[in-house]
Order: sequence, then structure tokens, then C-alpha cells
Amino acid sequence: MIVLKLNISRIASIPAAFVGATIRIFLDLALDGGTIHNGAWIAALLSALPSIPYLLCLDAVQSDKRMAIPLRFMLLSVTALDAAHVLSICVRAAGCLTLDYVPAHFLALPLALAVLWCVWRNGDAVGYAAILWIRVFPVLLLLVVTLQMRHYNARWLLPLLGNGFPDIIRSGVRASGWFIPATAIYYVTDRSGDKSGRRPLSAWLSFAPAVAALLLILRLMMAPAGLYGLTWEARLDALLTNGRAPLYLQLPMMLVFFFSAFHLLTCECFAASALLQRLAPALDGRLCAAVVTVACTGLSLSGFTVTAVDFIAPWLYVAVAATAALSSLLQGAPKGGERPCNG
Amino acid sequence: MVDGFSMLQRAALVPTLNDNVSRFRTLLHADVNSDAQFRFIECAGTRLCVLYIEGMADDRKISDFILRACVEHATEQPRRIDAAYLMEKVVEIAQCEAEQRVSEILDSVVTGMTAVLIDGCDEAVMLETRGYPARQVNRTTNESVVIGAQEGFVESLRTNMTLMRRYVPCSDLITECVSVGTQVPARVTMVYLGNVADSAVVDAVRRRLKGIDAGTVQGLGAVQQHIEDQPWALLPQILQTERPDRAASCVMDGQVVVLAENSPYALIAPITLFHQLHASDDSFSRWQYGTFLRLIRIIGMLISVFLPGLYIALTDYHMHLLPLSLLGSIAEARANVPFPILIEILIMEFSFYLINEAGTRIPQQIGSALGIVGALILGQAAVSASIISPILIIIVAITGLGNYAIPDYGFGIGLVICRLFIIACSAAFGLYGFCIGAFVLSVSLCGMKSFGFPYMAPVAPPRPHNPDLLVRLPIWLQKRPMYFAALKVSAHGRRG
Amino acid sequence: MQRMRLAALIVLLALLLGGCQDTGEVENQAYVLVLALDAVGDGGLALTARVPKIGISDAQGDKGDSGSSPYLTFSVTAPSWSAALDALQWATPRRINLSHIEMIVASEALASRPSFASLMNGMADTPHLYTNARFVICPGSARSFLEAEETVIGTRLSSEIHTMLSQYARQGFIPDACLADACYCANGIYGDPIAIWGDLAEDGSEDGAPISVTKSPMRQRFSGAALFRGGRFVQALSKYETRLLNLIRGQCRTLCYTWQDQAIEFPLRSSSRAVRIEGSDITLSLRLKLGAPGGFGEKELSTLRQSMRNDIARLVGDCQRLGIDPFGFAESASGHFVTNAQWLAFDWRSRFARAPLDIDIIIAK
Repeated sequence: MIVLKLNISRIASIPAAFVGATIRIFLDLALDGGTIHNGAWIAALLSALPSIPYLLCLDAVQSDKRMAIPLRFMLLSVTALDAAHVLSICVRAAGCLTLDYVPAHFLALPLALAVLWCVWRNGDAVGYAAILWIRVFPVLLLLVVTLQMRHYNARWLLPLLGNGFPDIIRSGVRASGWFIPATAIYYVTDRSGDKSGRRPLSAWLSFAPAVAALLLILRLMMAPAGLYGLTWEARLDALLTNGRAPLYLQLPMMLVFFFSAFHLLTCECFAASALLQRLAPALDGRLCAAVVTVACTGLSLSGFTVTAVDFIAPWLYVAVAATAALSSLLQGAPKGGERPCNG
Repeated sequence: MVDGFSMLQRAALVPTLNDNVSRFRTLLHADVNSDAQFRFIECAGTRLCVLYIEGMADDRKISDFILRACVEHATEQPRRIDAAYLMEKVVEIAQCEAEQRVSEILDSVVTGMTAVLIDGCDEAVMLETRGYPARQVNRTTNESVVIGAQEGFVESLRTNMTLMRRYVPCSDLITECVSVGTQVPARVTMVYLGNVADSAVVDAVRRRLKGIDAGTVQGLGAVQQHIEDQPWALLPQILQTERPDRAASCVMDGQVVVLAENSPYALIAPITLFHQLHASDDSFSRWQYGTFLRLIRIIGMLISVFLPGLYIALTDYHMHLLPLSLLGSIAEARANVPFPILIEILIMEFSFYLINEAGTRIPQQIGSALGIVGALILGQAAVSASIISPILIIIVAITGLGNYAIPDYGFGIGLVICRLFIIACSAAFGLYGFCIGAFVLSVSLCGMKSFGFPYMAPVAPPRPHNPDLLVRLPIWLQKRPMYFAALKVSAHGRRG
Repeated sequence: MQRMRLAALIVLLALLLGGCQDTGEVENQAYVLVLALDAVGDGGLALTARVPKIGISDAQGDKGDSGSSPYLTFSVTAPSWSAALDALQWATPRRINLSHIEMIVASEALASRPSFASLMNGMADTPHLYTNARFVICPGSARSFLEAEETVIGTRLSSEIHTMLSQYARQGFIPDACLADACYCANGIYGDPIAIWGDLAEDGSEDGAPISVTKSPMRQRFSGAALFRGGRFVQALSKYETRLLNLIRGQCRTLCYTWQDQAIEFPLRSSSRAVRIEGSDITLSLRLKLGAPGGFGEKELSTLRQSMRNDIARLVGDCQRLGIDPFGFAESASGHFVTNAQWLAFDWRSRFARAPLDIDIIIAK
């Protein structure tokens, strides 16, 4: 018996997808791919270009058609893998900040339980929480910027292109791939009540790279290019405090970081759970969420996600966007006998 | 025996007076019930029996307007009297109606009405003679305001309905009575504006009230627990208010107010989180003062929920986030305290709410002693004995004050439990746990609904609303009805 | 109901398995306020830490009622930074907390080592070490410098250090330099780092100079800037030169300039530094607009202007000869290039050493 049907309304899915996309692009360029230096914000803006055709396909693909099954399966795999990666980012960040003596699974377990609980609230709760975060985030960010204003050095954005165009383009394409798991939630949106004339997803999500670029500019003004110790932990440390500001100013930045990461994680876990339920309609939503959460936690703790993400990141966009394009094309082709009669 | 009683209740009246009287004697246990009164009189040659419960009905009304009226009613010759004749020509009570069903007559008599059984007629006349002692309208005890009306609801449903009529003098105000409880029915009234309230909302409230499957319902608190969307949630999804002006304001916004006999407050549904944070005098004051006080209240709420957890997280895990001068003060204050910070906080929280609860239950004559015990002995002695640190007393005091700034009592208690959850998360994992706890709370709030309306609306999801959520802008800017309402507003702000 | 019990059990398990059992209470940690590093032997390091005693009342001041100081000093010797930290943890009876360090002092001998840059990086990489601590280089023993630090006006050493150094930085006597800034500059692709130059002095020890301190309860003197090349100390600047250095870096709002035995305050209206690049030649450009103090005629202002110009040119010239750029010209120059690789290929250091300086000082009434 299906007790919980995982679905989300359009009004909730767009902010969730927006928050997810912004944060995912930012994390990729600031932390995972942090060697891009000064040109990172340009890469963020560039990521919008390849993502728009993908998003247009997503708008066009009807998620309940059979032709969408390969796309659905691919989205599920990618989203679950990325959710595992984001979970490991949260655990690593918590370990860096203060809990370095706590084993990783003890840090992952409460977060996994929290995410599971949130997914069980269903999609509207996740989306509305994203709306709340969109309202609160600018206030916290303004506080961070105001308190650290004298420590920003705009000259550290120069030279403008950082490591050069090849690096920027590569990072931009990689970042555009991260639109895919972050916006998977839109794929499972209940669009039955859609009215004509509403702006499609692509119009909304084109702002995500712009916001990510703004955040990256702020980050790049904190520490110069060529900084020693390009470890992930050093980049996280530079993100949360630029080293030249008093440590208590780290507090609002930590709140911003963790809340943003939790929103992204919940959004992706929900999308993966809903996709699983679409693929296996006989399963209850709670079971799907539990399966996805347990799988993500296990993957995250295995340490496999870092290498896997690094491996698939350059190809992610091409693979999924091509599948989406194919699905939308095949969906539009009428079957024999269904052509309207002329005359 | 039970079957016999229920058979008697389901039956209708018979034309024979003695049979009817005997039936009622059985149902009212007249052989042992000393307050069930059966008064036989004659009116124009017809035998009548006046049936009432002593104490519930007003003896004077019965004597003056029923007994005297019947006895002194003269006709030229004896005639057959029926209910219609009695109502039109004899009795002098304003509200009266004819009733045939024994169960209805019984229910009305036990609530203070008087039934007049007529020999030879299968209808009884039900007369409004309620006169039981009830509290007068007085000041509110739990929702005081500086500026504004000082009246509060009382236990009498009739009086409460009258108060609503006074505050909403509109012909579209509907007071719909519903009986709740299968064994001992309780009188519950739904109050709403017919042309403003959404019919789907009204239907939902009505359906849930009628669907209460309980033998008895002791007041609106029980009603609330039966009809709210998520009874397992920590925060209430229905507002309780003692103030008729607050209830009237909500009625005019399209919400439904539920009143009940013996309950000196009203339930209001549907609501949002923001209703729990608004107080009546926000609207009575100028917008600058209303906004300022509301912001203080909201900051108090946030402090109440998050301050102790943040304190634990920072002092136990993230000392680098505290300026050294503050850290030094905390460290020196805690130098001789034997307990970890978490235990200290739990001890203080428990003590605070123990004093709170004792203060509520304590007899008035010795209530003043509680202040001396609580503040001086417990607080000062605990610090002197190094059981707790002085800084923690400040933290807990500010937290408590923030909690008491919240107008809604139930909401405040719910926030206390949320606070304990945040404290547990922070104690376990520091700021990481704090963020997890706060995140779970925010998603849970966003997932709650009140009669189908999202609890965090009109922020999440966004809905058109008056500029009266966190900041209360001038009253002339607030032309739009709440989105609960079915009423539409024209471009010029006129309702139509 | 069974589901609720299961959920509660899982949550309780999560909490019990959490890290709370190993937390450190705030009063059970040793907060290092000042850290001193000395060179020992061949490549070795002596680490000295100043830690406040928790529980001694502030009213007892610097020497408690019983005559004991409210601060403890621990000193260890080790071959490397990480080994020294480990030894310090062993020597101290509480968990060392480095997140509230106010000052890090390194001896001149240690800072002159070629390996000092990697030592700075190691320090900055240490988890929870407060890299915003003021960074001081001193001649002689850093440990002696640390031990001379005491509360003079206030009751807390931490606020004493912070207030004192902020005051000196505001006056322009020292640069606003912290460990993080030094690391960023040493490892970044722009200029060179600087630190605060500190010294120990006795009262009246400045040999009868016209301006000297004849009596002060403080033995420490923070008076100037320490210049680095590529993370290694090369030279110290005097406090007057440091004022000019701060002026060029745009880190002061007023310039207190000593001229003909007078100390004159000039409010700084605007300052800009630019680099013109024509082919392989570069020209440094410095434009300063100062407010004129009262009581000076046009002739005197013109003489002042020339004197300032000479002093600035001398300072920049000295740094050019040393091959270091602590002024921030490199950050301006990097804007002429499109990529980091092009900028690095430009070899800024050698071109800066040869670049002419164009100084434009406007003293407006």
C-alpha cells in the first residue's frame, strides 16, 4: 500500500532547483575544482550557456512517458551519486571545523537521518524551506560581507582570466553538468496544474550561475591566487574565513555554508527518491527515501564518491543532455495510426 | 437497561401526558435526581407539566412567565391547548419552539431550558430559561495588552456569541451550532462571515467537528486535539485566543472561530506561523510602535529557541568563534562548576520551568513566597555554591523572557520543546548539529498545514498578502484580505 | 506507535554515538595568547607559549595576591614546527588551544633562515591556529621578548596586546600585519610580505637621541616593519619609514610626518599607486593628496613636499635594491595581464628593481 507518494508542486520545485543549482556550481568551482583561481566566476557564468538547452529539454520532456525511462534512470544514478558526494562534503567540513576526532560515520548518520526525515515531509516542505532560505540567505550574506568588508581585496581578482581560457571553459562545462542533479527535482514536479504562459524553468535557473558568480567573486577577493596548500581543507578554510578576519566572523559564514549544503543535499535526495518511485511505482515513498538515503550514506562513507565525481564530471553534461534531447525528440514523434486525418 | 434507555430516547412524544412524564422521570432518574423538577399546572382546562432542572433554569422566569401566564390564562370555556396555542397566546418568553423528539427535549432540559408537556398533544414547548450562575465578562488573564479592549471570553457560550456579535455587527456573521460528543454532547458553535470565509474551509471545519468520534469532549482544548491536521507535531496548527477582538479580526479575514460551552477562549483556524507571533495591540498602536514591538517579539522567539543551543555549540566545540575577552569571562565563571555545560543548562531549564509550573499551581496566599524562593534562594545559592555559573543564569533568563514574549501560550510551550531538541543537537555535534537541528525544524515547519493551508504561508509558498507579517506597515496600506478568504478585492481596495 | 519508538531509538543512538563524549569544556583548555619562535642549533626550533591561568581573579592584576603571575610560560625545543607543537602539548597540562593567539613573535635569526617560508606555511596550515594574530619579528631572543610582555594599563594581557598594537598601527608606527597576510604574500603571485618589527629596550637607552623614551613601564618597543623577500626576512624599517610605507600601501588615514624636529599631521585625502607598462619597461606611479595643516605657508609646503618626495623615493629605492615589493605595486601591475601565466612570465621582481618612480604629492589647503 502506497502511503506516501513523493511529489512536489511547481511553486516549490523551482526555488529548490534554484538553490540546489547555485550551491552546487559554487561548491564545484570553489572547493572541488578550486585551482581555477581568478577565472572561477567567469566559468560560473559560462556554465549557463550549455545548461539552457538542457533545461529547455527538461521543460519539454513529459516525465510520465515511456520514452523518458532512460533519462529517468540516468538522472537517478547521477543524482544519487551527487547526493552522496554532497553528504561527504558536509561530513568533511564538519570534521575540518572542529569534530576532527569523531569518525566519519558518526557525523554522517545524524545528517542522513535528518535528510530522511525531511524527505518524508514530501516535496512541498523541501521546496518551501528553500524559499525560506532564499529569503534568509541574503541577510546572512550581507552580514558576512559587511563584517569582512575591509578584508576583501578586489585586486586579487586580477589577472582576469586566471589560469586562462582553456581552464575556464573546462570548468564551465564541468559546472554546467552540475545543473543536472541539482535540477532533477524539477523533473519530478507535478505539472498537471500548469497554466500556459508561465515562465519555464530555464528562465528562472539562468539566474543561478549569476548568483554563483557573485559568491565566487566574494570568495576570490579573500585570498590571492597561487596560495599555498591547495588542499580541499585549505580551500574550505579560506572560504569560511579568509585568515585575516577575526575568527568569530566565521560564524555567519558557517551557517551559510551548512544550511546551503543541507538544502542541496535534501533537494537531491528527494529528487532521487521520487525518481526511484517513478521507476518502481509499487514502492512506497518512505521506502524509496530510505533506500536512497542509505545508499547515499554508504557511498559517501566508502570514499568512492570523490573519485567517481571527478571521473564523471567532465562527461556528465554531454551524457545526460544528449539523453534528454533524445527523449524530447522521440517523445514528439507520433506513432503510426495516430496521425490526425487531413480532410 | 441501556437498550431501554436508548429506546426511550429515540422515541417521539405521545399525546398522553402521564406517559410522557413517566418517560422523562425514567430518563432523568427522577427517583434519585433531586434537581429534576416536574410541575403540574392547568391552563384553560388542559393539564400541563413544566419540566426543568433546578439551578440550570431561572426559577423567576419560570414562575413569572410560564406558570403565572398559564394559570392566569382565561378562556371563555375550556379548550384543547396545543403547542402552537401555548406559544402564541399564553407564554411570555422570547425564545420558544415546539419539539417532538424526546432526545432533543432531554438535551435541552439538561442545559437549562424548560419543557412544557401538554396533555393531548404530542409536541412539547421548549422555552429559553437558562439562568445558571456564570462568570461576568472580565479582563483577559493570559493575553493582556497595553492598548486595546480588555474584555475576554467567558465560560458561557451565549455570552461569547454575544461578544462576537458586538465586535462583528454584520448581517453576514453566521453562528452555526454543532453538537460534539456521542454520549455527553457538548455545544460548539462555528462563527464565520458567510460572504468572506471560503466555503471549503467552513466545510472542512464542520466536517471535522461532526466527525469527532468521542463519547465526551471536555472543552475546546479537546476539540482542538481532535480536529487539528497534525496532532503529533510540536507546534499547534490552531490558534487559541481569549480575546474577542482578536477572534473578530480573524473572522473578518476569512477564518473560522470555534466557541464552546464552558471554554473561556476561542479556537481559530486556519492559521499560519505568523498568526502565532501577532498580538492584538500591534494593530491598535501606530505602525512604528507596532512594528518595533513585533520585531522585539520575533527576536525574542529566535533567542528563545536558538540561544542555549548556540551557547553550548560555541563554548563546547567552537571556542575560536568567541572573542577571547568573553571566553575568558565564561571560563573564569565556570572554573569551579562541577558539571558540563549541557548538564548545567538542563538543570537550569528544568528549574526554570519547575518554578513556572509551581507558580501556576500555587495558592495565591503563598504565591509571593515563590519569587523569594525562586530568585534568591535557588539562583543566588546555586551560584554561590558553584553549582551553576552566573553567565548561564543570564542565558536562561533571557531565553525565558524571549519565550514569554510570545503571545500564544501553546506555541510558547512548543518552542520550549524545540529548544530542547536544538540543545541536544548542539551538545552532540556543535554548530554542525545546531545547523542540522535548525534545518530539520525549518523543513518540518514548512511541511505543516493548517486545514490544508501551508503553515509558513504567505512566505513559503508566496501568496499575496498585506504588509503585516514581520513588519507592520501603516494600516492604510492593508487593504487586501487574507488569502484564506474567498472575497476578492478590486484595484481600488474596495471589497466586492 | 511502533514506528515512533523505532525512530526515537535511532535518534538516541545517533546522539549517543556522536562526538559529545569527547568535548573539551571551555575552562579546561590552555589558550595560548602569545607564541614565540626562536632558532635553535641547525634547523631546530624553540617554541614558547604564554597561557593565562583560568580562575585567578582579574583584580589580582599582573602579580596575584600571593605574588604569582596569572600567566604561565611553557617552552619546548624541537626539530620542526609540528614536533614543537606536539612537545608543547606534552608540556602543558591542558589541551592547547591556538585559536586566540594575539601575537606571534619570531626571532630575526629564525626569520632569516631560507626555510622560514615553509615554517610560516606549516603554522598557517595548523588547524584552528588563529592566523590573524599579529606577526612580529624581533632581534635577539623571541622568548625574552615574550616574557617582557605584561599587562600595563588593563587587567587582561589579550586585550592589552590587541589594544596596544591597534593603537600603534593607527599611528602608523607599525604595519597592520598578521600571519595570514604574510603567508598570502609569501605564497601568492603578487608582492612580498611584511611583519611588525619589535625590540626590547631599557629606559633612556636611545643614546641621547633628540626623540627618545626616557621612562616607560614597557620594555617592548614596536617600532617599524620587517621586510621579507620570498618568505625570508631581509631588513627592518624604522618607525618613520614604516609610516611612509603605510601611506603608500593606503593603510593610514593620516600621515604624521617628522620634519625639522616637528611632528606634523596630514590628513590623507586620497592615494593611488599605478604601474605603467610600455613594452618591457615599467614606470611606478604614486599619487598622494594630503590635507594641509594650519600655519604653513606656500613656501614651507613646497619644501615639505620635496622632503616627503625624497624620503619616499629613498624608501622605495632601498626596497628596489633589495628586490622586494612590499608596497602593493605588483597587484596594480597584474591587472595589465590577462592570465596568471602571462603575469608570472613577466618576472615582476627584476623589472620592479629597475623601474623609475614617479611621485606626485599634492598638499591642498
